[in-house]
Amino acid sequence: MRRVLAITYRETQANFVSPIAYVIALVFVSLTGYFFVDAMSASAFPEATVEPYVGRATFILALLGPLLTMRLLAEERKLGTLELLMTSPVRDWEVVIGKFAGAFVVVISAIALTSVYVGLLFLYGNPDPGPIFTAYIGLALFAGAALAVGLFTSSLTSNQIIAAVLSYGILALLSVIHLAADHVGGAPATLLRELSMVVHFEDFLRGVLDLRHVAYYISVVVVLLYFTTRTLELGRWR
Amino acid sequence: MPPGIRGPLAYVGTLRGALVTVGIFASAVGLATAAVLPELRSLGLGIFASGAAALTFLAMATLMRPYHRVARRTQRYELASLVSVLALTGIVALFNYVIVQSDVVADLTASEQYTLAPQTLDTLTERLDAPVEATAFIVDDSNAVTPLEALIAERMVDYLREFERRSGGRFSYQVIDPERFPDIAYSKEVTQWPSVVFENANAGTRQKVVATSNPEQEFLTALLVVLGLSQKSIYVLDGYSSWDLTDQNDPDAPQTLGFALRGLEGDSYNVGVLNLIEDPRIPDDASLIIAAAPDHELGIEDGTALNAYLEGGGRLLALLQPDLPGSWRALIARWGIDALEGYVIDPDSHVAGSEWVPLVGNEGYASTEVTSEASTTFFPSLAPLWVVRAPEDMPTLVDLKPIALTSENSFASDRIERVRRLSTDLGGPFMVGVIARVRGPVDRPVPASAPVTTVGVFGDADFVSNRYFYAFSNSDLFLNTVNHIAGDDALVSIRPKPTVFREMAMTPRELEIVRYIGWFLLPLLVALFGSAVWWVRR
Repeated sequence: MRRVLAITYRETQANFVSPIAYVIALVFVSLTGYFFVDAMSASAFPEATVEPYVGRATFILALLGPLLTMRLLAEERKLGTLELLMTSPVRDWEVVIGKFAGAFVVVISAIALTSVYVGLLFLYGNPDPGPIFTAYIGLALFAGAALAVGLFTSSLTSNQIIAAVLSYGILALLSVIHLAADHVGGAPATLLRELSMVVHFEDFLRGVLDLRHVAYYISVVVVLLYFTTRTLELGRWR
Repeated sequence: MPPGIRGPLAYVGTLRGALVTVGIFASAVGLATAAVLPELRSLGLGIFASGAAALTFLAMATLMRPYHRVARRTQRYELASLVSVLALTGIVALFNYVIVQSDVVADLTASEQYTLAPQTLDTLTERLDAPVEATAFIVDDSNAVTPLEALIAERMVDYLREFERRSGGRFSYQVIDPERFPDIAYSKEVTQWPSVVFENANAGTRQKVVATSNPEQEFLTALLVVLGLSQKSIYVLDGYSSWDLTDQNDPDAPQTLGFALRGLEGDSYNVGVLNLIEDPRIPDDASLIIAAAPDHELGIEDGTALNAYLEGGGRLLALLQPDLPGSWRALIARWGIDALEGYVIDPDSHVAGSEWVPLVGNEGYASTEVTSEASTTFFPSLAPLWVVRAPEDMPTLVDLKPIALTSENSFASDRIERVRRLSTDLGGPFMVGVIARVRGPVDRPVPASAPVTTVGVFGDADFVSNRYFYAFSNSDLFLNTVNHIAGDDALVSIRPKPTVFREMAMTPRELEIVRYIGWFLLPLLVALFGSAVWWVRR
């Protein structure tokens, strides 16, 4: 665990001393800020809710997540530092979790900045705290899943562009897969809906904390981080 | 036996043998628990999943043993990776399946907006004995509907989703855009939207619910109707009052019962009008008779019919007004309740500037069954109520539950405008409403086997007039009282959850501040901080 924390710290530090974290945060708060203000300006008495910007923040995270993760392993592989890392006294899973956690800290920091909007909601309105809490829980889980997808694709190739494009492909598929449910019906439709990252996010926005949605996002993270670890281990034997 | 594979006895006392035993045992116990004990299904499936996972790992490891001897190290590792990835994916899928079955949900909205009432859950889990399908007709194009229609449609779909989730697969729904598929809407006789059609294919029954602000109640009613479960009937007496029973449109109508009757229909009741003067027969299906603001005397035949109905275990809710006709006063007195003369004046608790409109808050309620969901209620021109004699002197009385009381300083005035108490005035507190369960009239002995009659009385009818019905908790108090007297356990009342529109109250200046922070200040601070870090690092 000490080694995981050390890698996490190193990755977080690397992100925050380079422009990466700030560019990600800038784009994130700019877009969410735009959606927030837009919703507040839409009518004379707008609703005091985080839904207008948190709902769209998933889309922003799906765009920014792969940009943050595409370099994590692909760049190391391309520069040849991955071998160095693999031969150091850390286990593969420790590397994977450390890098994931480092990226997660950046995204959570960007999400935390939007708490300013929550403060404004409480200052000028009377929002329901429950849905705000669940929306942010959901956003953090969604971010974790998006980053896990990005980290996995980054482990597959040394080309960052390919890693990012693969991530976008997987995230897009997981975001629209439920739309196909209307055309199949029955158990396959249920399965398609259960695989959708968007469907699992809806309840968080409504203020409902459903264990199956939490389990879904955690499962995506666990499975993909495990895939990433095995991919790294396979690379060691080749 | 193939080379490399040992006999079963060779595994006795080894870790592998222990794991196999535990795996088989856990799988069997888990499956048996899930099959035999539905309430422990999730736990059973979890135990089964754990056992199956242990066996899968062991099987894979055993199968790979011969392979290890012949394959190259890289190939072995690839196979091992593939197996472990498949095993983990399977375990995670099982884990998710168990979680889905466990149905652990927390509704964190302030008004528990998405939590179904126990009665609804009971119907969905216990009484839904045939598959029911619902088709929601909702227009996709957000520009084609008003924000209110969109909100109502969204809530309707929320409840359909919740019904489906809780029904154990016996209820399902689909959403159809009637503008894209008008033929489907036509086939189900839907002409306005949003609306939902409930269908029981087995029984061939169908029930339509048009845009509603109380989806849970109306969906539940529709569900019960298509399942063929009967609705209770309530009859409102006509011919004894000058009040209008039909107007459901005018929200300011002072002596109109339309909104209250619509509320009863929304609570799953069949509501009918009964004129005993024309035909002194009370229908057999009457679950409750309501007498609203009677100001005409009861006749002989109709009075006899009403008394006979009550003596046979009937149920009556009387909404009285001051200056009650004597025959009505005598009717309720037979059941232990005395409607006193005059108007209740309440100097301590009244609507501002109107002492003749007593206001009842939480401290004024006495019966938790009826008033649990009511907050504040008020009663314009209230007649004082009390008991005809002490409860211990009424041997036939089963129980007597005051619904609410006026304050200690209230008194009965002979004139509505007189707010100063005279020494001759009868002092309070008075009962605002009361429910008495009596085994026969209190004025004569009756056998212990006599049926129990339920009589509810309010000293006021105005509080359920169109003008005041939806003010404060007046409607909740009235509908809860009806539910309670009707002894309704088949068709239930579920008060609509308050939909609070939590709006922002900003001046133009404050909106400018929000814009400034959201569009400029926050992004600027992040950009400045990032630039500073980059500059220093450079």
